[in-house]
Amino acid sequence: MLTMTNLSKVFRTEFLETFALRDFSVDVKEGEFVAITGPSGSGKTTFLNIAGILEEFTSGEYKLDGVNVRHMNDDQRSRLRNEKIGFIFQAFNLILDLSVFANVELPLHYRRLAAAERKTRVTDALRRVGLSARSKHYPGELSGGQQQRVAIARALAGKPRILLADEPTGNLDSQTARGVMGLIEDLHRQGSTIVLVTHDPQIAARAQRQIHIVDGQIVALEQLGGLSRTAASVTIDRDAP
Amino acid sequence: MFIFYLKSATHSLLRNRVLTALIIVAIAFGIGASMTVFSIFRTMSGDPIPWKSAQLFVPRIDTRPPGKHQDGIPDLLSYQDAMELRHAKIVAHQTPLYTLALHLMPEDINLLPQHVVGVAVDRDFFHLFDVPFRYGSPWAVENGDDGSNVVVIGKRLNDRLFGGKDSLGQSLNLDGTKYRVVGVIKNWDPQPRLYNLLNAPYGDSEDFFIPFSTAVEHKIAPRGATSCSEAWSERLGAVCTWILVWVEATTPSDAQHYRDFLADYAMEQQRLGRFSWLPSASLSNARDWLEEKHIVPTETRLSLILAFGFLTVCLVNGVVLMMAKFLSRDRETAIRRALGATRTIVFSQFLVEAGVIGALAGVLGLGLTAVGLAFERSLLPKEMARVTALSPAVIGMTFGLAVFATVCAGLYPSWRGSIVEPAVQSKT
Repeated sequence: MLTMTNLSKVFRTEFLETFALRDFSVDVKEGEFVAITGPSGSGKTTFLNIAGILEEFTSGEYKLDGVNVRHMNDDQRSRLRNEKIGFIFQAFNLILDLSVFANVELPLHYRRLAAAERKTRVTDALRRVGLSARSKHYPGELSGGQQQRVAIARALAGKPRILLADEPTGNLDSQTARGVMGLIEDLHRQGSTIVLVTHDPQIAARAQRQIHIVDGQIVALEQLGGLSRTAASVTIDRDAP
Repeated sequence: MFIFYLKSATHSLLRNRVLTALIIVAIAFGIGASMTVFSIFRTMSGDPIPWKSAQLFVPRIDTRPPGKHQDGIPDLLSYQDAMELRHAKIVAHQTPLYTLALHLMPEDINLLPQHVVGVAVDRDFFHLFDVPFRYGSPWAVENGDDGSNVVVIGKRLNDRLFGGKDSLGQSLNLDGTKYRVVGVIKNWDPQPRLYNLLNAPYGDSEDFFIPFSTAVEHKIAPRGATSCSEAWSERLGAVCTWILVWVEATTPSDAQHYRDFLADYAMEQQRLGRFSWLPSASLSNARDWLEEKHIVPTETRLSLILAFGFLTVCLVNGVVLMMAKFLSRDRETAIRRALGATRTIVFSQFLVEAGVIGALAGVLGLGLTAVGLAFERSLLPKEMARVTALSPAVIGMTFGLAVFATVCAGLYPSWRGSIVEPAVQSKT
């Protein structure tokens, strides 16, 4: 589903060259739930942005659902992003003066779906996250957890091949966070491929597999201290969907 | 997708109403100022008969001795010259013309006479200037040679006297002579009044039209200044000039033929001993004649340039304000881009927003244009008031200019707003 091979992202100034990601290789299979962990500045968000085709990379190869994205132009990347990827951001990133329904519907407009099809998908997505009764409300009228659910519905409405979540519970209290994570796990059980970036080891532990990044590279688990491993990623024994 | 852009534009405009209002007002003032002046300029400089003016000509003969030509060839002809041209029949359609003012005597002797203004013409006048008729037609007799007391009246006079109904066969008492109504024209107010530029080029068209021969037969004096004394016998001579002549030459070769005829006529007059010098003769096309008469004052042209300069300044302000508006939504734009909006979609959305701003500025600008014209009307003489009318064409142009100009002004801000990278803003 998501394959990066020797991928590097370099930020260059006149005097300095910084590797946000260095020779990064990862393979996320369809139906997997993978957690990306690492300290601040390790490259987690850069990885997620590249995975979400929000940023370009300097070298290497990246294939999303079999499509090589390296030489795509901006319009092609936008369309691929719209069709294949659903985003869940830490700050929800809803548009405040659009209703819940309009927020969830937004990416479907860019796909030029017919009005009836859009309505069906939005209604279904809101039902899956339990917010059917709030479709006419505005984000400012919702709690943090509800806003994140709207964001999840927005991601689901496009029927993406993969969900990318960047600290989805970072702005939520613990109880609400548990609720949102429960929803994400439900989506995984229903067959969604999920890549989730988090600082929280408890959140990370709920994934099938963890990938730990330090200084732009995947590190061996023994460096985390205490957990045995032999590969650059840890596979946690969880039931497959 | 356009409906989606419109809805997005509406949301955006309502989100920051003060900034939106500033942009609209800035552009509307520029539109109002420029279209106020343009409306007046357009009326003053317009060709009232553009489909035909290239075929209409004014023959002129300068019978003044050499040394008296500093102010160009006079526009009016003497009676002798006008009749010579009339009877030569070099072209198919032509007419002499002069303005006259009479008193309309009402049937009820207790009512006061009304002052009415008309022109004396041949029946070809109505063909030359495509005068539309509501009832009847021009008098039937070729050139009105028999001096019949017939009259064609204007719509305003027909409304006033006969309630707008069919008044064919009715009679009018003009200065004690009864004239039979043979035609009523429709609402006809060409601006400027090309056919009679020398007598108040702007204003209402004449109340009545009578045959030229009839006017001469009744010795009706021309209205306005001429080079003639009061003696009617002098008017029928070869010296005093008081008649304007219009001819139609449908092809360039016809026009050249008429020019040659005029030159030959001038030489013949010299040969016959009327002059000891060769009189100048010219055939001026209607459009050239409009230009020559400087119908549009220089001040109006300068005002037009200044007004559109002001509009440019207002649009530049609009560009700056739209930049501020669009770039303040970087985060939202990045979100939309992250969700799959291409740069083209974002650009189009901003451009539609500029169009909506332009439409609203057009509505407000139209109101300001009406106010501006009303103000101008209060300053101009009454007979010039017509140039301050807000025509349907100008209404359309005002709105169209506002939308077009604002969309053009919005091109750069829209492009700048659309090149936001999705990743930078979405990082948390």
